[in-house]
Amino acid sequence: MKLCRLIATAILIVGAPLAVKAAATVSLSTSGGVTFSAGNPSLQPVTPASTSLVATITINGAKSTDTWGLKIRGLNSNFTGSSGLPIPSSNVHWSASASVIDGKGTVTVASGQNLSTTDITVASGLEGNKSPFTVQVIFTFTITNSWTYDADTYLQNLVLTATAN
Amino acid sequence: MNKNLIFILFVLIFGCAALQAQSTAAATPTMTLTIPQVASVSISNFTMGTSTNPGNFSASLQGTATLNYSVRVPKNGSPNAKITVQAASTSATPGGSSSTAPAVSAFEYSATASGSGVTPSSSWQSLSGSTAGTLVTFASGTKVDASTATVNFRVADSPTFDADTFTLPLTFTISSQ
Repeated sequence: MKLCRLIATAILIVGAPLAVKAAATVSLSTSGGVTFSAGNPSLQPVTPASTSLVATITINGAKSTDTWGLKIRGLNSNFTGSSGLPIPSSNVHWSASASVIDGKGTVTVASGQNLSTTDITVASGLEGNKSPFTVQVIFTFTITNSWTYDADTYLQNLVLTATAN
Repeated sequence: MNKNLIFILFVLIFGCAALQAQSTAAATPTMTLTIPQVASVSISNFTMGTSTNPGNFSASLQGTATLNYSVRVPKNGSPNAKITVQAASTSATPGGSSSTAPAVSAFEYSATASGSGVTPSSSWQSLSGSTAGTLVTFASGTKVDASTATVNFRVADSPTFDADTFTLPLTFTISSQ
């Protein structure tokens, strides 16, 4: 049993650090912010964002059997302005497309849906066996326009979270 | 024996935990939503009466026009959100060059409208060629989509008017603040 304990200790000392070294590191960058310039709701019931949001995920130490993912949520449940009543963030709808820029991993994109304060997986896949693995996810946003909105400028933050397992 | 088994299990569990190590990165881009003020107005069904009884100069020529408008006033907006009317000319233009036209001030207007935050100028006011007259005022925070107001016009007939057709251009303006 002492021998067994010795082997186990060796696994603990040698094996564990090896496992940590093998873990990939992920970085995430975005192209900027998202701007909605709403018009007359009667003429424009749905307002598209003026630009797409590009999220770039880079994974170093990619492994063919490991997975990655990108999630999205709203930081708060409402857009807030200086004088206007809050506007629900759930009025924002997102959709996404993605492509692998570098590496040999894969990407699958989920169907778009309305924004919520709960993390929703946008894209995921395998990291592949080549580092770095870089994937680009392009978001398209729209917001439902309404006469109930007060004239004002409103702010809200998106939270994008990339993970590599 | 049991201690050894527990120790081995501990090592295996720890090893598995190490294999599940996760790297995470986050970004928080800002979303900006601009809701604009809205102020649009158009006019339709503008009719003006015809003096059918030239001998009765006390009768008034009356007419109406429909204002189709949309407005969204900021909640912290100034109290100048309104629809106004102003004569775009200093005098009515007669069809005949020598006819004497009624003065602009001879034309009077009033308005009817309804809705939350919407106040029409219901009493008769004289039209001006230099100052815009208020037809409807909107309270701060008023949001009206595709509503209508009615403008009433009248001219007190006068024996000084020549028999003719007179034209007076009007300018309607809507402001959301």
